[in-house]
Amino acid sequence: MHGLGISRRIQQITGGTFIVQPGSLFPALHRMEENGWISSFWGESETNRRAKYYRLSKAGRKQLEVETDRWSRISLAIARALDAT
Amino acid sequence: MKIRSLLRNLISVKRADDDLDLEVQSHLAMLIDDNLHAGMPPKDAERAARIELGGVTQVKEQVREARLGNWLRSLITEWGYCFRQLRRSPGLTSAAILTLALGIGATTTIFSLVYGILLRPLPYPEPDRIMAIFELSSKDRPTRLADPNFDDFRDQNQSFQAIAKYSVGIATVSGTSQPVRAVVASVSPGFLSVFGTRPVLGRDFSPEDSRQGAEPTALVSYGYWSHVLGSPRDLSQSRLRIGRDAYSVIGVLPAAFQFPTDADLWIPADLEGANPSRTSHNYNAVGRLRAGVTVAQANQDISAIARRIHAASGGGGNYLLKDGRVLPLRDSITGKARPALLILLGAVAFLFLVACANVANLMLTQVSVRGRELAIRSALGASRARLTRQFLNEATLLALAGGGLGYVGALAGVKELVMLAPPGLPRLDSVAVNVPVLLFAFLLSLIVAGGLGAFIAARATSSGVRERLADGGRGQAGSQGSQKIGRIIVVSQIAITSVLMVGAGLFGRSLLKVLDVNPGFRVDRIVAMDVSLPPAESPESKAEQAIFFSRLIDGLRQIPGVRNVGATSGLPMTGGLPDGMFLRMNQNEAPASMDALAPLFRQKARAESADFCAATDGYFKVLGIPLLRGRLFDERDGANSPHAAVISESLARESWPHQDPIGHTIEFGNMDGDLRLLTIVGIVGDIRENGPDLPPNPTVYVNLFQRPRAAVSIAMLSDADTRSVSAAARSILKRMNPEIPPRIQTFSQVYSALLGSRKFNVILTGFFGITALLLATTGVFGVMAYSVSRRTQEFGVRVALGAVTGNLLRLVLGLGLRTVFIGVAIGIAGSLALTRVAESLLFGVTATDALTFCGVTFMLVASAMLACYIPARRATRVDPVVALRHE
Repeated sequence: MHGLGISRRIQQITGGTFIVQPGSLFPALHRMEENGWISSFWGESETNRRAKYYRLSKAGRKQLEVETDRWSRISLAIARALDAT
Repeated sequence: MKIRSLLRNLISVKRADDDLDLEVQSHLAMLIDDNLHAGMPPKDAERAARIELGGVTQVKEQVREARLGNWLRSLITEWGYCFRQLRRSPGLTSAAILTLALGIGATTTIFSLVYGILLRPLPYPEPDRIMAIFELSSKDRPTRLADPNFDDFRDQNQSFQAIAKYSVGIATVSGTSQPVRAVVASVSPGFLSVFGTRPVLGRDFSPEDSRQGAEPTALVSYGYWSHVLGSPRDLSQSRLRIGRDAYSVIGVLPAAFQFPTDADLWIPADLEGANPSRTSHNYNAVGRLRAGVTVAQANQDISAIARRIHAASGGGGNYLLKDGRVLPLRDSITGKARPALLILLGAVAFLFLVACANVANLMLTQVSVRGRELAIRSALGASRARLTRQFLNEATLLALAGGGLGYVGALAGVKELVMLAPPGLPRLDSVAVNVPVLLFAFLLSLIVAGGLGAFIAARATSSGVRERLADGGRGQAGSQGSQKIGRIIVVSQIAITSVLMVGAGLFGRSLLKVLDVNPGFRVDRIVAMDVSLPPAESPESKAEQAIFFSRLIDGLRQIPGVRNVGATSGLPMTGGLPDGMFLRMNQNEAPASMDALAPLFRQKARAESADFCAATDGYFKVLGIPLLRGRLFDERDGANSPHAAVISESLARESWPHQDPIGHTIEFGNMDGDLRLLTIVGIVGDIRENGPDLPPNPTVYVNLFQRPRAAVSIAMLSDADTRSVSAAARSILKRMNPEIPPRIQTFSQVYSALLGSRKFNVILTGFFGITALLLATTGVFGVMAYSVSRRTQEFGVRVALGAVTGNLLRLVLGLGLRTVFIGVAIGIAGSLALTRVAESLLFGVTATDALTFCGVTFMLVASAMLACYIPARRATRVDPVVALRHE
């Protein structure tokens, strides 16, 4: 997906909770690319414009698992803490 | 991956930026498309899209900031900016770099001297465990050791894992292609263990080699082995003749081993048996501390043993040791040079400060000029940290450039310094521009960078930004502060310079005073030739020595141009004569043996001390030593006549206060083994044999022909050219005995070598003083010129209000001179306090010598006045109309 597409998709899926502005989106995408978690290539958009597309790499997939795992542990812990009080 | 990205970010910057630009533009385009698709009119669509994007440049900047290695990129950009800034004012930049190069270069040069001599560890394993061991005389002076005392130290100590004695002499060594004069060290077994060294070829001395009467063996230095012996791998054929004995070479020492300095051969010390006297101080001693033993403990140990010896002898007179002392070897070698070296380091540090002050002033003027630029940058959002960083960067670039140039200069400087250095300076061979010196230069540059940068940055960012902008760029308020600081810097420069110049002046006057002293003997037109015969034991061989020298002297007298020839056991200024105690005796009291002397020495009324010298009558005539009373040696003093002695004037005065010593008899056989009494026949003038700055020693001269010896210095007084005389002398000696290589030098060479260290100090401090004066004068000129240029408007108003040339001149000159006077006053006060430190190096002048102080004050005020004059004239030429419009 290209940058704009990613931002729109996140907005859509989270029901408007997360609106990723370009000022945060682009630095984040570029940092992830530097870390090797995503790779980029130029392609054509739906409106026949040249746009930069991003794809998850194998290392990225592994990192995704790690982050997902971490997030699950955190949210579980918070849920338990709230339960207890 | 990260590293690859980092490299990519740094190298293909343009490509990454273009890519980013395209991406953001395409994002914007897609946003506009969406808006158009949603039905917005084109203008609104674009506007809404741009608002949502948040600005193309801002987004790009945010991406750039998040990039890996961004800090490095901005650092490189900053440095590039600094570099361009500096290039914009090439005059200022080069002046700053050259001044820094001078300061750092000079300091580095002196530091390499100090490091090589004082700080660098000796080139042996664990060198700080090697100690030098001394006896302390009754006057608390460290002296060499007597054999039995060394034996006691060796056997009774508990602090040393290895301990050895050594002495050095010069001998003729033959057995190779030609006989050479070599430096021969006599050492006890265990000498090499003290230094942790082993021979690279062959073996060390064994205990059997060192016993009395053993077959003589020798170790050679690497240089001697390669240059003289021709690097033979098999040593069994190498035999050398030293004196009358043949020595087999058993080992070769490593090239780096050089103890004692310049030694070519090492032989066992006691092959002829040890000297039983406890008052003949023949040997130096070294030892390696046992693990865990401190220097203080070793000191106590040796001291206790020494005091035990002293107590056991029951008094023993002046020449018996009173105590013992242990010193780290390096300190004992370099101790005498330390005060002068540290003073030189202090002097060059002052020069360094003066140079840095000049650069600080240079950069300060820049700050005022660039005040407006800084104000604008500040208003545009540059943080104070960013501006400070810029000045730090500039200072660092200047300092590193100056430091690099200075280091290169130091390479040449050290070479010059080593050539100039007095011959007595120890460890000169370990002075080099090596890694520690490089590190020092680098650190110095960094300190300069930090100090200068911080100082300038503080000045630049201190006054409010708004003030500067409001001034319209003229910045009069700011410049007044700058002028004041500039003047403070100049005052300190002048103070420091005056201290330096006073020091140089004091050293210079000391040298002149030393040169003025009459040494008591002639120095010019004398050629000296050192000859070493093989040692003689029997009376017959001793007589042969006497005949040999007599014939040699006669032969030398025949050389055309030679007026007189004399011989002596020790020329002045070549290391000093041996001294000892002699006894007053009655004519028929001749002692039968050496042992009979000991009880006599204990009788205080009989015992006196003096230097001992064997000489011919020609010696006194050649050196111009006047005969004051009585006679010199002549034909009356034959082999069977009473032995004659001539004494120096001070000895006559001190030991025979109201009598005529002529005709009295003394016993001085403890010095050369000949127990025959000496009859005093004449009194000669005193000579300062250790140099013009030391008092003369009382001396007893015996007749060389009656009491011959093997090593003799022949002095020839000639009107002819020295080279022809030397050549003729050499060939005469060769004809008489080709096995003996002489050493020939002119006496004046020896004399000027003696003054070497004084000249060295004068040259260096003089150079620092003059350079500092030039720098300080330039500093004064700079500050005054700057001040005048800033005050043109004020001068224009004054002229318009009726001031004349004289008023303006007085105004400017007055300010300048006030500054200089304050500086000189502080400097003189500082000098009065500081020159005390150098008192031990002065001669004939006090540390508060009025002439020097006045001279320095005069020179400083004169140069400063000169420096102020030109800006002052410029101030008077101000056209009031132009000035009033001057912005």
